[in-house]
Amino acid sequence: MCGHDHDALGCHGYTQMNRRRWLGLSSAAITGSWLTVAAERMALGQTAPKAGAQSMIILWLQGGPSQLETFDPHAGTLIGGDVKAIDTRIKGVQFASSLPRLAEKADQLTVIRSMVSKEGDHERATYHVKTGWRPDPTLIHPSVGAVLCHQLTDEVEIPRHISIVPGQWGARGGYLGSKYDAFQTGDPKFPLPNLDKASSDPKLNSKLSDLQFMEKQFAKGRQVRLRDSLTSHQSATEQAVRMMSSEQIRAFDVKEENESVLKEFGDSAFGRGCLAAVRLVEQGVRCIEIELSGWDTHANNHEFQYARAATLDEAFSALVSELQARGLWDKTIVVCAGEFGRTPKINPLGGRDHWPHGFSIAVGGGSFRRGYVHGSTGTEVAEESSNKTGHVDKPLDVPDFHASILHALGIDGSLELQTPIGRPLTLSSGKPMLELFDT
Amino acid sequence: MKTSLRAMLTLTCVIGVIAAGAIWFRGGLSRTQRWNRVTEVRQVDIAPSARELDRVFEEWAASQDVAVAQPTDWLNTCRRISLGLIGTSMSLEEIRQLEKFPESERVAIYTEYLLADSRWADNFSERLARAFVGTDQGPFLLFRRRKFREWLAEQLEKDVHFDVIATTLLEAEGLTTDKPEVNFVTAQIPPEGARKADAVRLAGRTSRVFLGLRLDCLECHNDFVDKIYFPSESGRIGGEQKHFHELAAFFSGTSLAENVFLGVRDEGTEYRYKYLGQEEEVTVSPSVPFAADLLPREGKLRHRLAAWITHPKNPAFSRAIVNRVWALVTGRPLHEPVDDIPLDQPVAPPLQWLADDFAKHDFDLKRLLRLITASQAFQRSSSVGDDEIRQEQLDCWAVYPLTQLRPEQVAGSIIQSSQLKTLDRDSAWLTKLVRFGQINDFLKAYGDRGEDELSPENETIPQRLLLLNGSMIRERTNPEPIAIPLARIANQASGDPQCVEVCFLSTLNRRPTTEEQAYFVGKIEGLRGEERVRAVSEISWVLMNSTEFLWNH
Repeated sequence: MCGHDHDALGCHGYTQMNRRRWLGLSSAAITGSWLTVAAERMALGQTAPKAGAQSMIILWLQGGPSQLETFDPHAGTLIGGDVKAIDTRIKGVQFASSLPRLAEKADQLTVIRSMVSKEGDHERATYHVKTGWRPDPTLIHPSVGAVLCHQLTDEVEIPRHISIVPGQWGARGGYLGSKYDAFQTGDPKFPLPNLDKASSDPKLNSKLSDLQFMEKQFAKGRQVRLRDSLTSHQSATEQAVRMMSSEQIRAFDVKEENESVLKEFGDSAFGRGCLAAVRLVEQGVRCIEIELSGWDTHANNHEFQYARAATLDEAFSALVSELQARGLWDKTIVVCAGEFGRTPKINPLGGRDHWPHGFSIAVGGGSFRRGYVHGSTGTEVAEESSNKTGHVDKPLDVPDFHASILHALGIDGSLELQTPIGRPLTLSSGKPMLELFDT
Repeated sequence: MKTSLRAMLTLTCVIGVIAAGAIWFRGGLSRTQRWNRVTEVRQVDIAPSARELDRVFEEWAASQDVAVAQPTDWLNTCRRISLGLIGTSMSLEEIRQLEKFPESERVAIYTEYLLADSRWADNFSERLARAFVGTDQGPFLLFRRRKFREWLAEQLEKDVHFDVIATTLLEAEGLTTDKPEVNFVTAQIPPEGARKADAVRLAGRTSRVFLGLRLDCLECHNDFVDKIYFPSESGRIGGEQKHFHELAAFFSGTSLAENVFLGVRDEGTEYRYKYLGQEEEVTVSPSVPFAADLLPREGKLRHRLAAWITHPKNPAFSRAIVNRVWALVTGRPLHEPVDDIPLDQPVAPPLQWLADDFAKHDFDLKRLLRLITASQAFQRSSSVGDDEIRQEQLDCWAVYPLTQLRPEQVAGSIIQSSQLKTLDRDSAWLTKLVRFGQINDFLKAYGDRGEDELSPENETIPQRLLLLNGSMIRERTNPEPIAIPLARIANQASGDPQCVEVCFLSTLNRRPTTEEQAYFVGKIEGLRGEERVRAVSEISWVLMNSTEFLWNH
């Protein structure tokens, strides 16, 4: 489903697809559906994309952060309300005064001030920004982290796709399969859930040996199918036990860091999650998402947004510093985004409501430009008008943003995969915005 | 403790008790009444129809030139029935009770016993509610999912036939509080204060659930992948945008009335749409994409649509329901995906046969369930001895498929396995409350796939970690007070082989093989007291972590 706008032509890559091309793909799929990525590229005559960033850290701001109280303040205007602006390291560019440390890191970031979306409901908009696709009742799309893990292979002993302090709509593997779902964990100051060290249970080896005995009994008469795709139980057990014995899980334990480093990230689950993300990137983990919720400020917007922004400011700025200090900034991209922004108009409760028609996202690292602001929003906003994006210069929609992220990771968003519902689909329905990247 | 904290804890307990009570104490027969009632089973004779269904399955297998697996034993068949109907494995108490009946009657008796159990309606109402309204929270105050599910459970317990349930949902009007079926409509009201139900979403869900057709793509464009065809007098016609929007037009006026006390009403609004490539919107008249002769000419729009969908001659309705019910009971539909059954091609012969029988018998859900559990295909083994299982055998159900248990089945089975007695409405309050809380916690950690629960998925590493190390199995196999049944098994069994046998029966719902019994007797031989209880708990841990326990087979 493409949503309910009559001009929505991008449903399932329709604009990139025609019947002949589909038939060609279908015949390929019949002879060997679920081709490997490399085989699919060869079949399609595509070349591998140039090398991009190796890992991605997503700072997910659930609830809808206000662009006005963060990266696009419009201080002193009617829509700005009580917000105050401060100068940044980019000449002529100001952030809200809620982000003093990030203002000092602005010359390392690309700030997109012209994001537009067609989804204004939390769940649907979260799905849209995390996957690049609008919700479809017949198909669940993979989140960008799942796509990254699907496209690149690794030998790490811990999950490659991790979600720290996740909310209710975590990153999923979608049609790529549940094995690409994010591994979910909580505040890194606590031990990982259900990940008892193998050495902590003296009976574990004996029990696993008994389990192996039972598996052999069950496999009788079912050997071939069991080893193939019918059950992944044994392989999942092996991977889980390998993880329980792996030294790499120490990457989750931020207490191993110096007190001064910990302090830089702030005393919050989000801050500790960001530090854990740095350590996980060092181990080769592909995608780490850390969630900071509480941005849905329908009342007392200014106060609540500033409180949330303080946590973000500490952690995000420390994250940039630490990735640079450890030589990871050029091979890691950081995406700081929520599902939408908030209305320019302040409501009678002093709150701002949902606003997908001109909001901000910050990105950095990898091949993203340093110290660049893309697009802008005006102060004269016609909230009741049918053209709600008239005040947005250089609007960037979610599919194009998604394609840009894939581009930054060296992944060709036009690559088509055969989905389980028998329909080929491109990884992204958008086109990369090349202005976001260093030439 | 501060007064406010105490008040909050009290309130939480009260809410928990009410929620558990609502789920566990909604009518139904007691355990004893159900066992007494099963003697009537001999009068419910569907054997001739079941044999006819067996013939259809056999011919299907023969047409594919594949060997058919041997029947599995009655214990495994009953485990499948239990997982399918109530979402847990069998209790040891139920096994012992069934053993009092002749072996040839146990499967039929157990089916009747569970169909008289409120757990069946509770489980099926949740599964069906996922298809009807999804698992999202929906619009605040306008959507009461719990009320909807309870209403659905009540209909199932009262044996309301499926055409009546579907008609009630499609025609629903009024307030969600006193007409819970209205939630089918209000679930599709967009958030942010809209009054009109989303006709597009209602049409998409209606076509998927009640017609077994995924027409959603036609919302934006004509079918360009040769996938959607409708039967017509001239053969077949390809799916076009207009087919979807003409269906959506039946819901064009479905809105919340201006007077909030009237709830959902039909306002007779025109449905307008701008088709792809067109310059202007046009008015779209309600119409159906096939079998238009079955559509009544008069009446309210949604009443006409309901009559067309549930017409006994509409081939799509009965197939959609049969395929979903088969998938809920067995773990895999007869046609995949469960809600995308082509109208222009022959479908699996048993699906067509069951759909015809379903329509012929007034869409009687219990009859359908009895037929499924009585069929030889349902009772076939998932193993073929030394031979290799071929995909063709699985495709035509010559071998029973392996499917991963759904999260609620895993949780329910773990809890039931650690109890000797049946956990049902007759269980103690505290036991039910603990069970309610533990299942909720487990589902949150294990992951609930929502309305997508019938698509095949593989087990994930976090799920494995949860089972290997998580609190659910650890507490249920911990030789501490909560696992008193384990202590009873360890200390009261008449000998080591009997002890191992009880572990197997209560967990895997089967007796151990000679090899297994020797292996595990070796683990407890000579142990006494706490050591013995600990060893028995380790055996339970092993069995609960096995593929056999965590998969339907």
